[in-house]
Amino acid sequence: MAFSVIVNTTDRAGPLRALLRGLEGQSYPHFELIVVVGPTRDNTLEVLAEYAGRLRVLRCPAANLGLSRNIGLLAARGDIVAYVDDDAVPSRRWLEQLAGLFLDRRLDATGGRVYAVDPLRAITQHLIGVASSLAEQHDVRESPLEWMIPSTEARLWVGRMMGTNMAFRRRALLEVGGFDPLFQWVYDDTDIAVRLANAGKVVQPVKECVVYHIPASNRNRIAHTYNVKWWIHARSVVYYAIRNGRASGDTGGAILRRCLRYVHGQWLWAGQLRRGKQLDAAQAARMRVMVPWYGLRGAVRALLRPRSLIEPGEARRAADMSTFPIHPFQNTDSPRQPSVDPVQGHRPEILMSEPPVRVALLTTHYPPEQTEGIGRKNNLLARGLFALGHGVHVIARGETDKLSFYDGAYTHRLAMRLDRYDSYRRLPRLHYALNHSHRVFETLRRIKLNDGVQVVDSPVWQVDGLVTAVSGLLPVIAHLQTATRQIADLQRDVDEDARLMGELEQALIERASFLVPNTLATVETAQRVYGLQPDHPNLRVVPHGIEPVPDSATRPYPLDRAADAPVTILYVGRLEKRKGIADLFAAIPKVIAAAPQARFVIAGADNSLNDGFLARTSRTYPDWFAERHPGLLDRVAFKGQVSDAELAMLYQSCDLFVAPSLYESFGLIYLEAMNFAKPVIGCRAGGIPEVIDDGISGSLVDPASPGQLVQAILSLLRTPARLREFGLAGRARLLERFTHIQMARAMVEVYRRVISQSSASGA
Amino acid sequence: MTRLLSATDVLDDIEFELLQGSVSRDDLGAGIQVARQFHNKLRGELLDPRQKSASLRDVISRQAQLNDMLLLLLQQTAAELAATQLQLLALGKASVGSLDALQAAQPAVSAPATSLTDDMKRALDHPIVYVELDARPSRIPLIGPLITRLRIALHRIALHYVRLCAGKQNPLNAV
Repeated sequence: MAFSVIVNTTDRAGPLRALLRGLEGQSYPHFELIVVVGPTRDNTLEVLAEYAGRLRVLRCPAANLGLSRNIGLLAARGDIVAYVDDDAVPSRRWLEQLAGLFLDRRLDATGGRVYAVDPLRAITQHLIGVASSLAEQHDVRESPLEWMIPSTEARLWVGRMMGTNMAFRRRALLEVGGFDPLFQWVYDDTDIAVRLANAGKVVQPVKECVVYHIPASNRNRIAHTYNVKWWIHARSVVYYAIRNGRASGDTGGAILRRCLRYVHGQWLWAGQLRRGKQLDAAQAARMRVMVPWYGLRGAVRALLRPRSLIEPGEARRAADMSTFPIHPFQNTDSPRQPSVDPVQGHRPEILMSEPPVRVALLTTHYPPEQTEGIGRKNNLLARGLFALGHGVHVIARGETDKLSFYDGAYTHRLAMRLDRYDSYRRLPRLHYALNHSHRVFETLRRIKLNDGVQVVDSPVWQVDGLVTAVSGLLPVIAHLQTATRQIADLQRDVDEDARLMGELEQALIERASFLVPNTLATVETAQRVYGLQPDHPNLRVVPHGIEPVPDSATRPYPLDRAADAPVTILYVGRLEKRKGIADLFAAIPKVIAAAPQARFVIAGADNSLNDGFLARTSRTYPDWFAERHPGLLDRVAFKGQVSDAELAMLYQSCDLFVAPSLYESFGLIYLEAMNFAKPVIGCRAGGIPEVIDDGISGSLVDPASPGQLVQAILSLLRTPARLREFGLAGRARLLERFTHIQMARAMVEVYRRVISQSSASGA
Repeated sequence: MTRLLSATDVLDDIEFELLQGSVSRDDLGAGIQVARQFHNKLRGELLDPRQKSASLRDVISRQAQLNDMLLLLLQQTAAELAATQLQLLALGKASVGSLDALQAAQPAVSAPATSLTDDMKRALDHPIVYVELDARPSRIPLIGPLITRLRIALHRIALHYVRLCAGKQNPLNAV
């Protein structure tokens, strides 16, 4: 089955480039591409010239969508014509799924879900639409049964597709004369659905076959605003209602009432938009005048002139073109092209030696909203993978369901929905984790179906990937980091909830296809805490990596600084027991007594509520310190949680970084300080010694030893040459071993191995 | 004495939820309610003696709308069923894998002429038979088996009517 993909475009060169690059990744290669260009004023033709010989470029004399669609239809040679907007990118398996649907010979038209890729909008822009013969249409977003039977006067309701994602059997579309050029912008998709249904054709929109839509401005609207030529809607609605209402047997009275109500409604709405300051006075006045005028024009056109459809003879000649073979858009390089940013159209300018890997990263928190350890590490991994050309979907927790494209990855945020596993309601952590894990599974099922995701990368922490691992839907790689059991022990927090979470972490480890600890210390901990075999066959240590800042942004300690000049010591991390904040508080007075030039900056959210400190002392950490050491407050600054930009500034401006954590499975914060050529002090605990070279890039002290901490800080403050030397050595070590690209490369090797094992076992 | 919950209990519940997910609860429940509401409204409108009798055209038009809705419901149910069968297959395969390992570890046990593993494998080759067999019985006391049976019956009806009705709907739409 051959497809003709038709794109109608005017003045959208940027989004068009993203679409063309996205189409290279389609899993179904049997399609030609026809681009119908309107009276464009930008560099659209230059963008298309890059694909010369691979697509056909046709010209449409006017900015008229109906006309443009017909020009593409008449030139098409595929059995199926699929329309996609120039500001959208189809999911990888879009054509493959459509081909599956059209195997049913009764089907004449279909289309699927449209996701809005926008962090501020509802995730589903269109699911299954329904439209009446009187131009009433509903885009069903939540459940396809919502709005299914609106109570109106219309005699006919049919399913409809959204124009950015619709496909037709070419002969069926030609038989009804193609699109009506009266619809120069909107309602063309609804009109064709009703006309096909009235001609006895089967129109059946579906839930999948996803297209990602990134709405762009055009001549009739400014995207994401109400500054739209609503009068074009008015003309289309009146024309549509008269034409299709009469064809479907609606009464003259019903048609008249619908037209008047629509125009009146738009007129009133202009006032509402004005009052809401979404339109200025001139725009609202223009809308009020133009809407009735264009409505009248639509009525006159519908009543006095016939439709300007494709002539039957021309349609027959076009239908006979199926004997010509199509010239496919994809070439031999297409499968090895890197993934594309659908919003900006960027992709790494490389040709890969193997096809890109498609991976889903699971994470509890994710930037830019949340910047905690696992989320930050996954963000860096996503950036690294995208830079190497691979396709990434991130599934994170969020306040509402949203989809965006952020830092090289489709980012799906899932809101908390506690509608399953009711029997665990009394265990809030477990109940939440199971419900979220199940939602992750459902999302992955959809992403696998539409985008062909091959492997899931899940932290063990919070067991986000557990339900997926149990289901066998996809191979799950488990990232071993700090274990819940360990933290529960450290914070003396071993209730039933924590115990069961620990057991489920173990279950996830047992069911995972591959284990990726971040340090050797994590492996040892997992052996002790979870009984992991010492010689586990499917395990590889992959250290975290971060994106190096340019050399110009680093600030090694200046040797020419005066001996009594202030020296800034930075702490970054949550204020809680595990992070060693109590030891730092014990060290600060002694350091300042011995080195009065020392200044401390403490950045991180207070977590005294969760680690029991607040219950024991009735104070938060900053309050407790202020009460105990009121005389030191001019030398100790508590910054609270800071943004990424502020954090970078704090790293850049400090002279020494100190984080005496009692345990870190890795310690990304040390790398962040080393990135700016800063010396670091940490503890001999967990994976920290694998990050900090003691005596080369920093100093290590024993955990919970404030005395050693004081000595280490003072020793460095007294030898400025070492401050500089350690900082520069740390930066060199980072570039050598700990960049996000090195982390991504190592992970890609793991992904490929797991995918090939999974294919071999037929999972 | 109360038994402590363990990971095994939770994992069993996850598998049960995966089976329950065969039909999306929200969509199906809401769908049946909306269909029933509309049906009652339609009956009230058409049979109300105080109103003038509706034309045949109106009756057919309304009936077509109801059919549209039921078709959509059935289509969804069938799609969810197909997805579930794939999941069941995966779950079943995992179970068969562990059974194989178990049997390999205990060769001394006299094997019956047809082993349980073979039966399960055969059943998995025919997913519908597998659903009927209910190889992983529900853990909910009393009503668990009833729920599973009801769902299987519903799925069979759904499949039957989807095929039957899909070809007939559009001529009605064209009235």
